[in-house]
Amino acid sequence: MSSTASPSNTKFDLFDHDLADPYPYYDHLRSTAPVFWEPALRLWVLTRYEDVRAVLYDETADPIDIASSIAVLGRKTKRDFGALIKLVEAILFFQRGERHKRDRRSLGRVLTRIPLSELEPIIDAIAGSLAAELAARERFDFAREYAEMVPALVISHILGLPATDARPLVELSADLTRAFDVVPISLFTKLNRQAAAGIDRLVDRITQAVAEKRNDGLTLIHEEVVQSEKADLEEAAALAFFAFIVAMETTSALIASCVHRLLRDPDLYRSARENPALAEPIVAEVTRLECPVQRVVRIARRAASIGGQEIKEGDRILLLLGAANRDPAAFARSQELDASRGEVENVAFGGGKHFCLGTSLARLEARVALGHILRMPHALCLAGPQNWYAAKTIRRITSLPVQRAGAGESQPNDGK
Amino acid sequence: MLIAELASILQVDASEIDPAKPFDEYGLDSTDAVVVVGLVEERMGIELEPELLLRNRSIDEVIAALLREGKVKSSRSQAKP
Repeated sequence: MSSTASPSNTKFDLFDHDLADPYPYYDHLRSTAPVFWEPALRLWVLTRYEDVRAVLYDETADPIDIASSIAVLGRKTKRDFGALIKLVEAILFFQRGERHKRDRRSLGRVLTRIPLSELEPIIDAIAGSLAAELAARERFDFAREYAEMVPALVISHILGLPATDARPLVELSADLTRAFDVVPISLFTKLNRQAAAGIDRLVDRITQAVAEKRNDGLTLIHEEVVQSEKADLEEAAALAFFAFIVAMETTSALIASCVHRLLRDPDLYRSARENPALAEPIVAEVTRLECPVQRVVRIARRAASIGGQEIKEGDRILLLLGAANRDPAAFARSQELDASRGEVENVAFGGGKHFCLGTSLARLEARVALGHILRMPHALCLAGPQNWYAAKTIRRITSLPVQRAGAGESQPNDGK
Repeated sequence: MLIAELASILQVDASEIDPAKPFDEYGLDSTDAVVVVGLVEERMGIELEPELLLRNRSIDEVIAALLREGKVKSSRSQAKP
């Protein structure tokens, strides 16, 4: 691997960027070493839009096999990560071949079982009642109490889970996507326990749904995975738990980022409160700019030349989606939120055979959820520092304290 | 200590580990980093982030980083097997 991929006087540390604002780091990387060999992680890092897009749409490139890495880790440290492996094996974006086809088809059916036009009033009712409750409060945590709860309740409804499962499943999902990162073995042990508890709960829920001959997301998954393909019930439960996690985590990231941005941009917030129809273009721009899924890794299955660097068959390639979506070569005034830009093509939802199945649902949920916040009788303002999720793949705010604008001593704080 | 753990993970003799040589030249990957740090924690009671072994390229760099952060006291014996 050539070290000429990066200027010798620059050390790029992929672990060292600011979680709240990784973008200056990405810009630096894109402008100085757009195709960069990272020696410690042993992979190529791509930041330009066209390069990232080309790899996403390369049908030969495979996702990395995280489940096998966790299995190796378990063997080497003599620990049982069985439940965590089962859950990671159900993650659509790491799957290949037949398993990917089966699980993608199953979740595709689950997500289209209720047409979006019928789902919209349901989402509206969920978001509306949460927003009304929170509007009565002086102060609340927007991320925990709204951004996480709207998608958690919506996906619970789609799957056929009781609404009372939403919060416990959010808690069981905490930190699970950190299993894709280089984290201490004690965290893997904790995540394995959470995966086991989540799968157990969903095994119970599926068993119950099947016994009651219900027609919902859970029985659909059971039909596709267990009845047609003879896989075990835990595999079906893992798929349902994955659906919950991915739907909650990415959409909550989007909703919280929308509000985080509005509360730091008083002019935009004011015009959006005056014209809540702006929710839709704001969601589109925040999706591009804040990109809930930041990292995708692919394995090259054929040699290729990218930006003058020779990528070999078998090389791993890290795609920084958030960097690609702010590439000035692809987007005019790429760093700006421009509500008149409309829905421009970008890589926030991936592309190719792993293109996000929940794209339309996520956009709808974010638009409806944001609309209710814009129509609150009083404006909100930031009420303390934010917390960012420590994971590398998903970028999201896990705590966003807000209060009524004008209430108490409001201290605008950008959380940096 | 770190050298001994690293040697056992990479299945080489501890004397073959050069504290100045970059980890990637030994073929250390991110799974190994998690395992080595887990063993160090288990046996020495020092809690470390496995990323330390990826952000710092050699044993010398790791020890320098630990000294900077005050995680270990300066004593060369810790770097010897």
